[in-house]
Amino acid sequence: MIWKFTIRHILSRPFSAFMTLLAIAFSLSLLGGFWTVVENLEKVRVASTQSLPNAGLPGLTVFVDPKLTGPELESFKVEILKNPRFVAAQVVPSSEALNTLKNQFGETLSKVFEEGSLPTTLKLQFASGTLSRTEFLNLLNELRAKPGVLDVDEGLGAFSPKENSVSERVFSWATGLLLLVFIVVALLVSHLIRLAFEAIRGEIETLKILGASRSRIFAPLFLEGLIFGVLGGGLAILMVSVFFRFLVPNARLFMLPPQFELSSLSLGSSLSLGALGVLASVAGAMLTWPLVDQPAQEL
Amino acid sequence: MKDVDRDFVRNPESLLKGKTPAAKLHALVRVSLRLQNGEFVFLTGPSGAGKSTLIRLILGLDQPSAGEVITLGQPMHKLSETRRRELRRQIGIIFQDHRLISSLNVYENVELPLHFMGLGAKERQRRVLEILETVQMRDHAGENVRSLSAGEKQRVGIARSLVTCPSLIVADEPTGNLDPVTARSLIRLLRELKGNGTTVLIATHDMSLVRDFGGRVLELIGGSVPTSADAARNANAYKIPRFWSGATNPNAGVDL
Repeated sequence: MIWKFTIRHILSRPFSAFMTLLAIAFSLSLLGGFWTVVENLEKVRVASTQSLPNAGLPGLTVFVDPKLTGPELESFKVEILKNPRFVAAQVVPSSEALNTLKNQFGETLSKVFEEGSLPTTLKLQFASGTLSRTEFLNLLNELRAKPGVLDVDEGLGAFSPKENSVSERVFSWATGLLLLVFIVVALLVSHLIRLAFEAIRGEIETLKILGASRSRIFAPLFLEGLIFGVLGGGLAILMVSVFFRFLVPNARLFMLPPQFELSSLSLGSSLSLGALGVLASVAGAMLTWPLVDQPAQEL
Repeated sequence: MKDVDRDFVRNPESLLKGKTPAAKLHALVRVSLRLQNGEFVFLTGPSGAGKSTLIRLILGLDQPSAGEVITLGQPMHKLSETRRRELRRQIGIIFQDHRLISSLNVYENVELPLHFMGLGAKERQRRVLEILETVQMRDHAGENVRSLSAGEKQRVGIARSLVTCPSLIVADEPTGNLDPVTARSLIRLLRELKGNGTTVLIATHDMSLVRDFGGRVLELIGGSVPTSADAARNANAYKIPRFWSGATNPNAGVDL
């Protein structure tokens, strides 16, 4: 009876039901679209802070006070190698170091250095394993704090602090906005359902006058909200998925570096989106409870 | 119904604004009446006389300001909303605008009250087909109610009110939207129920029906049931045709 009543009621107003369904699906897809962007921003953020395999890193170059020589330099190397992150510390010959400086700063600038005044250059090789950005920065700071160390050249752009800080900020804003859109969409969907039921207020009154119990009146309304929520949520997931299937490759081409792996909304988030649709619709149905609960008003 | 008053606040907003006490509209004033089992009663009176208010009180859709309302032996004014709904399942209610559920077909509309009573499928089917036969709507059982004429809709509405075999039927202007021929055939159907011990109360301002079908007439004027002398005076005041003041039955069976 409840199913029959519900299905008949939906089918008796196909246009209105279709428009309600579409409005729910569009509202949810707006949220889904935003959710996808935030999810990909998160990926960008994680990508910029992720751990990298040491095998791909060129190692660190440490410039040491040239006064450190002989046994003092050896004990300095031993001190550094106590850190299990490093497996080797090799002194670079001054001619090679000079060439490196020439490559780095150009012929003119490198002339300020003479072979005798050049700092002692140590090349540190990483142990196997992975290295996170935080660990990497900590290592740099530790080395720079050691007595006798003039500078440390990280020699790689794998961890870009600037890129990371921007995406952190954007991510915070986007997450805040996502929450706002989430609330707005939840309210919108629930009120769409409530409005759909407002149209049958007269019939609800009739059922109350005829003696229908609250549960008998409310069950079909609840079921209808559930059906709209499930269908609207499903349609929204489909729309978001199709939309981003086209958008993501373009975003990768024009907006973001290729190392960031973008994708459509994840399965978990898609299901959450659908669940939100269902919950908001059911909440909308619940909003009609006072209408069901209060005594019949009209004759 | 004993010494029932029903007052309405004329300007409810004045209460909210804390202004001078709002004026009261006395919809019913000290109305007392008793309907006997198997009675066929017309409730008449001009617009605004309180007919609908009285029916609402009988059905438990409103609360009296004073007095008591006993419906089917139960103090309706004291019952909870749940109990009132349960009690209404035992009353056949006929509306002026039939109030059918547009998404359901004829059969399903008539079947509704039986669902509320919790009857089994076989019993529901037996009763629905039988009552549709009675109101000559069996051939339309599968039709959507939106495709029916006004008279057919009202017959379905009557079938819905009769399908539970109620001991009390309350009809609020049941012929208001019908042509005279259809109106008479429907009242005739309700009149026949008298023989089964069913009490029928029909609110109407169609005096020709009152004249033609007779029965007990309760006349509401200005929110009260006047005495015979009052009735005559009020009849003049309101220019009610002479036949309405008890032409068919001088005593009219009004229980004051």
